[in-house]
Amino acid sequence: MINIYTKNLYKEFNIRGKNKNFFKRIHSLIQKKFSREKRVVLKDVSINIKGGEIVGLIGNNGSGKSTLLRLLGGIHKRYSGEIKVEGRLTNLIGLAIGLNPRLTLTENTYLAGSLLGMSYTEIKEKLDSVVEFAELEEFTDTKVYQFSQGMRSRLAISIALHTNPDIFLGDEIFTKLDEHFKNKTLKSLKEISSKGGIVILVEHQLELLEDHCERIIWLEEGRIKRDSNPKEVAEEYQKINEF
Amino acid sequence: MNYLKSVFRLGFSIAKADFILKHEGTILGIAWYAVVPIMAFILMFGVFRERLGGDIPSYPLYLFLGIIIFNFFKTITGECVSLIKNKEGLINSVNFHQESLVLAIAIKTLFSHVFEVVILIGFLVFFEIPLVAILLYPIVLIILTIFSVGAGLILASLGAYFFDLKQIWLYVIGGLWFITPIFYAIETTDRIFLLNLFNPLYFIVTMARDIMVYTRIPDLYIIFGATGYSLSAIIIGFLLFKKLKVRFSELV
Repeated sequence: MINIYTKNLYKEFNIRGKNKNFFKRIHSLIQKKFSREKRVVLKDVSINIKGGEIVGLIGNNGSGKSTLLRLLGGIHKRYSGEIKVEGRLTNLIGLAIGLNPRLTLTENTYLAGSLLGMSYTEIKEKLDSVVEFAELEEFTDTKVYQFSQGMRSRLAISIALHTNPDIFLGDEIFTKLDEHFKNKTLKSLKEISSKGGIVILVEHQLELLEDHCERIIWLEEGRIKRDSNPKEVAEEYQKINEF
Repeated sequence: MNYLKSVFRLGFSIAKADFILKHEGTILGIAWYAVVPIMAFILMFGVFRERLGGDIPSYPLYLFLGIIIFNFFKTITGECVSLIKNKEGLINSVNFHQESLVLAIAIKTLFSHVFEVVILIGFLVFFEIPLVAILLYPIVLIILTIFSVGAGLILASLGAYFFDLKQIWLYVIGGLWFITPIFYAIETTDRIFLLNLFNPLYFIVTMARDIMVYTRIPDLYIIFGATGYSLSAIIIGFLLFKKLKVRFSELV
């Protein structure tokens, strides 16, 4: 059963001394201020997402969207509360899946595929399909630094989708995409949910979420402000953010 | 078992990519893997041959073996100490076995070490040392790799928390270079010998020389020292890394 469940999720970051120079750090040490320098990012976040849902995650910068995705994706491992994720998960946060600009498309596919948990044989079998989906057939031996941002995004999305995830977490993955590839990606994400999987998308393009999500979760200062149908949440969010 | 398989599989993939990238765009390419140790050897041999190497039998082989073993350790630990910070983009975006990053550095260094071993074989032929000695070199290399990976895990873990460690390690490795008998020999009666009892590299280098240069079985305390330090390093390194990695994504 594919499912995502969190209860009273609380996350804080210890920011002690990160932005301080040597003398300020020593001063803090003498003052014993280290333990108090914390930033709460998520508070009391309880969500339950069942298989078959596409969920949008919205909120202003710093509201905790990416941190929530990182917690669900197992990247951040320390938290209070409860997290339960059932299903094979792939996350695409900021399209950073280890693509190295000095490597070719093929070399990058092997590297990123391995990082996302695919075996060598699996990658080898799927290589043509990855390239075909990304529509980069002419560039298999081209180094990625010669790609446009859009081409890099297409490659990253294609590799991530070829991991056959039950749960797909995407953080602003549509930013650099043209309409054609955006629609192609959305079609693949809908296939994941139609097979009983879960898709969570962090996006600032509200229309996209309104058109394709079953619900939208709105985070504000680390708390869930609204969790309801897309139209309702998007309208309220837009109203509040209007000048 | 699945965990180990997954760590090794990913380690090989990262190592392969790093190997391609290391001398990418250079004219000599992979030939640099052979040029670097040869240059270091020529330089040191020229400086120390008469002053420190005069009484050491087969000094060129003695020196070259010391250089390549020390460089192996230096390369792995030098890269590991700032590893987590250097890979922050990846660590912040993908959930994977981060131990693979340390292993990848070791595998990449092993690839490049092959070039040094080829030169080593040339030395063995030149000094008419039975080539059977090279068959025993993998034993030394396994012990050296285990020790270096262990030290690498410790440094990668601590380096994620204390960025200053990268600078400190430069001085430590510099000190180790002089303390370890790479270009000179020590006797058990020397004061520096006592210091070297706390230096794992001393045991590994001595073990390698006993086997490869002098074709004799190393003393028991050398064998126990080399294996003991290596196993301790890998166990401590693994446990420390496991304990500290839970915060890596928040630190970088």
